[in-house]
Amino acid sequence: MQDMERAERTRLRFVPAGTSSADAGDVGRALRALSDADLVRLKALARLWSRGLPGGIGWTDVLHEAIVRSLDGSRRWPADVPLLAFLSGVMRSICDQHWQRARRDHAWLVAAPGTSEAVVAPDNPERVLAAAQALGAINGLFADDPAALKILAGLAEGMSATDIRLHYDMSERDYDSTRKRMRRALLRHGLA
Amino acid sequence: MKNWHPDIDLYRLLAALGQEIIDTPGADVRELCGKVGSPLSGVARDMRARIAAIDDGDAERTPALTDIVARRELSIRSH
Repeated sequence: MQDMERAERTRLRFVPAGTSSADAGDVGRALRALSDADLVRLKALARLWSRGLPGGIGWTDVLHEAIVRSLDGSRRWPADVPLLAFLSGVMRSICDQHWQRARRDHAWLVAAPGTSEAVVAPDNPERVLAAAQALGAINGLFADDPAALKILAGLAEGMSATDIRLHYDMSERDYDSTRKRMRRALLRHGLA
Repeated sequence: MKNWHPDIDLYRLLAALGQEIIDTPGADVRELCGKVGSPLSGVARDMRARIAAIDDGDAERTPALTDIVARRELSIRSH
């Protein structure tokens, strides 16, 4: 089974001869060749990235935009990057742009009349609230799992696995088993 | 709490959790689909249909995620 999995993942990497990225045809073929398990992972990724986005944007919107940008060449699939990792990065970029636009829109709204220069956006309470709510919703997935909540806090702080284990005095075994539970919870949510 | 930036925390957290999803073994994905009553084949079929519709141009993009906002901002600045 592990050999099959390795083969599956190898297939999802684009390694062209003499080029550094794939063209639209390569992306389209690779998308259509995704395994059932990878399609489940892709759905879970789209649901994860779109969580808490302002403006009523949902996971299907983010997935759609990521695929369009990959197919039309506005986002190039680099050589030797697994397709799912690439698409996750595109979705992350789309969501980040959407957050930034929300912030810029707010900045223009608060600019003084007659001001022609861009203004520095003040803290946008709506944006901050939306992000806090999204963080709360993710924590809510693990409300009954104190170890998972510790790992979430560490990841949000940008800590490495080693840092998290040391900071919260977790054994490597506890850390790994907690991560396994977290993966399952994320996928379960992604399937909802 | 004054210097708390939940959007930055959220961004970091989503990146880490996204990698967790990618790294989930296929056997776990299959097992979990069975447990939650969402057959792997059903989810995959739905996703394939979505992808095919996008690839064939049969599905419309969401305007809020295209460059409409950026173009509007350029227009405002040029006046």
